[in-house]
Amino acid sequence: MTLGFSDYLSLMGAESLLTGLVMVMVLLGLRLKNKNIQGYLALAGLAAALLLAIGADRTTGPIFFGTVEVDPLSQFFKVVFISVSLIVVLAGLSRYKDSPAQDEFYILLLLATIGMMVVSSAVDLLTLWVGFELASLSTYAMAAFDRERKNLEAAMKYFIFGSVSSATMLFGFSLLYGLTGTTKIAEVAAASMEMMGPATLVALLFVVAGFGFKMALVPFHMWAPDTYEGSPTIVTAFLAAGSKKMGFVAAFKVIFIALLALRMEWFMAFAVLVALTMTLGNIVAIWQNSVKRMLAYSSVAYAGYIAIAFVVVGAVNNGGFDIDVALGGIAGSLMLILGHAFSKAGAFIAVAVVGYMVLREGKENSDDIEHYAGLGRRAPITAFCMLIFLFSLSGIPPMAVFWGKLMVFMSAIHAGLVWLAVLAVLNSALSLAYYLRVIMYMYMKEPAGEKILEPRGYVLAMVVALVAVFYIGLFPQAFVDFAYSAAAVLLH
Amino acid sequence: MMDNAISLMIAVPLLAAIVAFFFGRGAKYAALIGSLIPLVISLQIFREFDRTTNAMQFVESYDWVPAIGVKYTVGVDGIGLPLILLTTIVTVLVVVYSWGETKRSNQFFALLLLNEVGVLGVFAALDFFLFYIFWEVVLIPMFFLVGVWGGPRKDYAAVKFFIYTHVASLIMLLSIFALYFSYRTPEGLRTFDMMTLLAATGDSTIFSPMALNLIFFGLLLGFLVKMPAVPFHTWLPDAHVEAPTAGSVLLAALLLKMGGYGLFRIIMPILPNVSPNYITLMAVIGVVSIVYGAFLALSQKDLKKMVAYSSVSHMGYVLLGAGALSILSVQGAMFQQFSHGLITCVLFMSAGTIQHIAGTRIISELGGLADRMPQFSVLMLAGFMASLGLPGMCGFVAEVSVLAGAYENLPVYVLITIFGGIVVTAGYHLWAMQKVMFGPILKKYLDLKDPHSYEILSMGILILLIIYFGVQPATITDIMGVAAEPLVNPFLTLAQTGVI
Amino acid sequence: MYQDYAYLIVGLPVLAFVLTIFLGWRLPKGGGFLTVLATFAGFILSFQIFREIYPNNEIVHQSMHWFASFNVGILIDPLAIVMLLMVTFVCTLIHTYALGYMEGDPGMARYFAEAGLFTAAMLGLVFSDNLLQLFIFWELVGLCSYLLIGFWYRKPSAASAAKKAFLVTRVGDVMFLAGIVILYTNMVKLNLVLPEGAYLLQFQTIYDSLALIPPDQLTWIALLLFGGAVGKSGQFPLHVWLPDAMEGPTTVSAMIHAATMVTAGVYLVARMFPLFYAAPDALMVVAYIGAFTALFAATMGLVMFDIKRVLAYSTVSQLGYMMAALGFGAAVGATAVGVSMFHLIGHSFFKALLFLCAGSVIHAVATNDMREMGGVLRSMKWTGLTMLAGSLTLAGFPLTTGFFSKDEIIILAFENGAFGLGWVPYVFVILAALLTAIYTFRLWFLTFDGEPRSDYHKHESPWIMLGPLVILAVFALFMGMPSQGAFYDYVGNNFDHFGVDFEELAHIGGHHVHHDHVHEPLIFKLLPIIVGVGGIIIAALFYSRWKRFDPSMITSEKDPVRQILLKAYYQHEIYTLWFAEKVVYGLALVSNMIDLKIIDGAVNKISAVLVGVGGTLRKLQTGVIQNYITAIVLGLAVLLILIQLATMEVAI
Repeated sequence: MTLGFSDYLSLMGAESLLTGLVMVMVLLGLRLKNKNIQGYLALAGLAAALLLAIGADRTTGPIFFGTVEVDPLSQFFKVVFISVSLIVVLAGLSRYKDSPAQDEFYILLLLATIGMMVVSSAVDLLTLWVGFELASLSTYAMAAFDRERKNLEAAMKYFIFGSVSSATMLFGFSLLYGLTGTTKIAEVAAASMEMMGPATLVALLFVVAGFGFKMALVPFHMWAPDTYEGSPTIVTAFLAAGSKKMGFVAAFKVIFIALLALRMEWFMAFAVLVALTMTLGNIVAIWQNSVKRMLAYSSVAYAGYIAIAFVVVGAVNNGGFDIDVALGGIAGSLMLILGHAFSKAGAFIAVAVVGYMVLREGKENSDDIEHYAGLGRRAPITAFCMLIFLFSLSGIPPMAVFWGKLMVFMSAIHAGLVWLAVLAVLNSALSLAYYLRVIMYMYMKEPAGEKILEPRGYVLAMVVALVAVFYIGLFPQAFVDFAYSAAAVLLH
Repeated sequence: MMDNAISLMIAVPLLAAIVAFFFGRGAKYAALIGSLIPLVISLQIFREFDRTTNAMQFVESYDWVPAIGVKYTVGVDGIGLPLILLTTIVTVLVVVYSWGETKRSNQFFALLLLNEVGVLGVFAALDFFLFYIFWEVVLIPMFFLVGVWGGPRKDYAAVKFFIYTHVASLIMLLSIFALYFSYRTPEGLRTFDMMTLLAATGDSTIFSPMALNLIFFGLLLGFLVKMPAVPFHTWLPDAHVEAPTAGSVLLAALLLKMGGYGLFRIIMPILPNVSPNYITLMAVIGVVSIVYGAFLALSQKDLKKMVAYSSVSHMGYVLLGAGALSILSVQGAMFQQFSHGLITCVLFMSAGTIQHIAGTRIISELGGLADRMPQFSVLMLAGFMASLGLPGMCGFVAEVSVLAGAYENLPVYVLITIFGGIVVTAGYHLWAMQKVMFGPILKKYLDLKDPHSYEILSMGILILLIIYFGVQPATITDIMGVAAEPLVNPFLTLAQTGVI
Repeated sequence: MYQDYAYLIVGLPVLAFVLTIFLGWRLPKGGGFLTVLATFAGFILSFQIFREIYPNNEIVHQSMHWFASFNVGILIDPLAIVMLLMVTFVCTLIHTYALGYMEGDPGMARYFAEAGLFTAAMLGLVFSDNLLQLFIFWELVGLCSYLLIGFWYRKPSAASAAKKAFLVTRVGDVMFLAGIVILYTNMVKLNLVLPEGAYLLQFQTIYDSLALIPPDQLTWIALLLFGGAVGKSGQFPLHVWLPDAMEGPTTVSAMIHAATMVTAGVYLVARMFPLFYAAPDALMVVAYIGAFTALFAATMGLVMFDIKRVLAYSTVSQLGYMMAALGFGAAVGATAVGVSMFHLIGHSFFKALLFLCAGSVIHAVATNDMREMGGVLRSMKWTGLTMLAGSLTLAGFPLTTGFFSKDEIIILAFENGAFGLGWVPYVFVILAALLTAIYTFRLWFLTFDGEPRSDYHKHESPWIMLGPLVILAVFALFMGMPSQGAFYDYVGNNFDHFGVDFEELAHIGGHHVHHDHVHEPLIFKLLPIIVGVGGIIIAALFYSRWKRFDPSMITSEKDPVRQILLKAYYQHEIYTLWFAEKVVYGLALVSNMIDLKIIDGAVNKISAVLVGVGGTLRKLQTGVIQNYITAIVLGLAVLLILIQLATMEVAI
């Protein structure tokens, strides 16, 4: 079908808007003396983009020569990505206030967001990969943004593993292309039905490994904790809450659509990866004294929970493909992605506040849990938000993550994977150990210093996340429906 | 007002909690009002309650997450209502007792109210999902009460309490899911509706015995840990010893009851469909809890720990009564929940008052306090007597009902309980009483005097209630009896068909 | 019409309790007169009811639903009314006496409050119309005894004596409870169709369904109920609490030992007599235990020097008589109830008298130890003479109340033997009779006769205390002769009111009913008189001013028998030091170990392991890229294998 420019604008409105905004900001950056305005520009842009993304018509098929598609799935992720970067920008308003290079931060952020949005709506392996690279490259730069030693090291690791994984992935893609003669995901799926042989398996292996990196599944997770810990905290927030989810959407598309026929093959692989990831992530997190690193490991564990969807979908073929089960599983992990995005972003921002606080006191290793002692009275708002985010992450109702976890566990039971459900449940109980530890420090220990004034931007960012967490937790219906329709896209 | 009385009853304390939190100094007034209103409502419900039927009453039902069949459904029957009353009464009295709390009082009272919200929700929820949510919500206030206002090892105790019970409830959750997925409504929809699912467990075409067994034990575990029954009880003493008095009271008087409530509301309806023989299992656990718990209590040096173990011992009667499956014993078990809720308050308040007046709870370091604290000693003595099952107080009625009702089906266990449990129970109570209260007063305690009037007041009211329900149990046992029938009848039919 | 107010018999003392406990400290004499008045009013009421029901031999029965299948109710039949009269009458006197005796004690109000409750509980026990209610008041009696024995709670000995009393009787109580539970279950199994106003555990219902319950069950129930009675009535082996109960004020001892508490056990067995009668072998146990206790306690009474302890052991011994009398019912049927109750009533008079006299002495000389007394008679004529009266009747001196009541029991014992149910009880009771006479007068002579052995205060007690003594003395001496016959057939035929068919029950219980009284040889007729008088003479020869012998001639401090008696058969060592503190507490400590080490240990172990694993895994994260690469390569390998495996599965 042929669409006019105006249609494209309405469909890809968010992307177009942000792209334009980036150019404007670049030009302004050359002129402006006081660059604080840039932040607000980005903010406004993202807010508008969010509305456009939600408003966009989700029914039209592939566009741009069948390379991208605007459907519930893409929009779901766009909403997630844009909201996360919105929160990060809010935090940035305080973090990079009056810093000379701040506009670069926002521009990189926007570019990354655009890249992620492209991935979320790509239906062509190449487009997907391009979007991936766009996002990744900008995040490499962001990871090093403060130019401190640990930033650089983190960025370096991130870069190396990121490119290795991209390479692996690309190799897998090319094999698929070689086997099927197409890069269109849907067509690959069609072709992958009858193809079967060593090459397929190698392709599968590399695709899975590549996504393993992006989603930070054990044992391909090792870059994540180091990077998350090393990067500037609000960038970490973006990486953990945002760009990692890009890995998932991509993996969903390729694995569920393109390689669904091979699920017998990847089922067991994912089962093992998931089990390892959840367990290792949690057990190691208990040992961390740096809250930032602890949260990083909890993200690893969460990758495990989210990836349960793969196992569920892979398992449901036993005795006929039960669409309900698969739908439930995917919808569950989408809800989990949504809740986790807000909770994790918020949590990292809280960490950033503490870091800022500690820095002002001129103390060392700002992420150490000792600095959280008595936070409840030193920085009440931050502490309270952190409290809610942590409870949300530990799956206590009625916060956002609860529903996601719940639906995922449910789907596991539904698919007859009792062992997996039990393992997941025990893990989620285990995770309490380290979440509660932080809470204890915040509320049950004597303060390590006097009350501080919490920067407005940070507070705003956390409150936004807080509201989202509670809203999703209390009125999940709309989101659950959204998630189901998004999941349906993958399984039509 | 009565058509959504229950929601109101649950919502008021929530609002009050928020108010109290931002009220600073005046928090306690907000707390008092915020706990009195639910009390009034619950009493009104009790008055309008139809005692002749065992159908759900005051039911409210709204869609919440239709996509997965979650509804907001609440209602009361003879199982839930007495515990709801207990909750509203105890909360008010705890607020009164804690009138002098100064440490971060706004948060303190807010948490008391939050706890009430959770507990009331558990006792009223008729949707498995809602039930689970309230069940989890309760953890949070208790965690903070122990963790912030607790004793020296509060960190350990708080985390242990949280994780131990959380694991159990998650496993319970999995069982709930299994129920959920096994059944579709005639319209082909999934539902979390409690009554529907419980009824469905009777349909052997839906549930394989294997699945049903797994489900059953998952649920049972969740409740046994909460009660707590031996051997899942070890989180309790730690939590109690470290918790502040108010925390201990709520924990023992209300949170433990959630476990027992689960037995009646969920386990017993499923039981006949799984295997009636499991009643023996419950009876054994119950008796072990009673006797073993009593001996544990006898060996304690810390007054509060002794009281904590006495809770384990007394909750054993609930299991025994539920397992014995006669109307009298089941009704007795329900009443034991209620009466233990009242009695244990007095015991923990006594321990707490002694702690903050004499500065220690180690029994051997106390002595002769009655000399300086006449009023308090009378109340404490009354509480102890009630706890060791003195007639004229509600504990006796409950225990006699359980024993008399249980003998027919479980003669051996009843005799073990009577001869192994009761004397020892009397023993540790009297022993502690003598050591703490009687004998010559120690020099260091010469300048003690009776505690604050509000502590005396709350304890006194409790004693009056205990005596009232000991003399007039029928006020509340009749609705329990009505509620007990549908639980017991299936077994009677089984018994007639010779399955047990 | 008085019977409509029967509930007031209990209601008024309860009211007195409430008033005195809250207002007592404001009132003169701690509001004691309230308790006295309430009790006295109870007596008047009981007496009026008696006058209403006695002439045409009615009973009073009122009942209402309580909860579940239980009820509360009032039953006043001959058995109950005589108890009511006795309890209210004696308690009135004791309370009056206490007005003087407790004068100036700071806890006076508390005393009279608790005393009032004690009386109320006992009365409630007596007129209960069902077993559960009886048990409830039974327990309340226990509570009050706990409070009153521990009245001077600052005294460690008093506190522990109170605890001991409560716990030991509690051992009996649990047997009682078990009995109730089993009885209840058996009756439920009968699926009786009860008429309006009838309930399961009512005595009427119980009597009616005895024939339907399996006899072996009956025996178990009877023995368990008797266990309860053993605890309350201080029968062997649960008598150990009674002597220690001396720690309370003497008036309390008087109440416990004479009017209330200990008589409850006897009353229970009497009340349930049809059940005991229907239960094979139950009554024999009762007879042997009772007779043995009578002798066993008497021996200890011989050597004690604490005046109150002597009386305490004599109480245990006399209760043995009452139990034994009931046990002899196996031979003579329901008449045994009359005999036993008659001794109970008589005993309550003279034992109250003796205790109050002892109290009056102690009040004056301020010691319990008879070795520091002597010659008290000179300063305390009234006390001495009234106590003489009490001693005579306790010793069974001819024509005193005690003579008639005890003589009849000995006759029953004889018949019991004659009907082939064993002579042992007879031997026990006759020996006990001898010892009773001896220790009683040993006590009297040591106290009132001879020369003062220390310089104690010499003054007579006030009249408020002497008055009751005189009244009691009169009853103790002369009540027996006129009332005996009437009493026997009034109380003896008590169960006719319930239509109990003893023929049938005898058949179930395997008894032969003997309507004919055996003819006793003269010597046996005289034996009670001989031992009674003989005992007094022996005592006189050893301890009075006319003493011919000295105790040291037959015994010395080292004498092992004497040691054993003084140590009271080492009961304290066995019961408290060994059983309670070693065995029970030991078990408790062991279970505590198990809890901490094993059960909770497991919990902590699990968490420790998990955390430990995390510690090792954490070390993989070195931060060195090379290691990461290795891990990844491994990972790839693993993935490959997994995928391969999966494909094979497909192939298969």
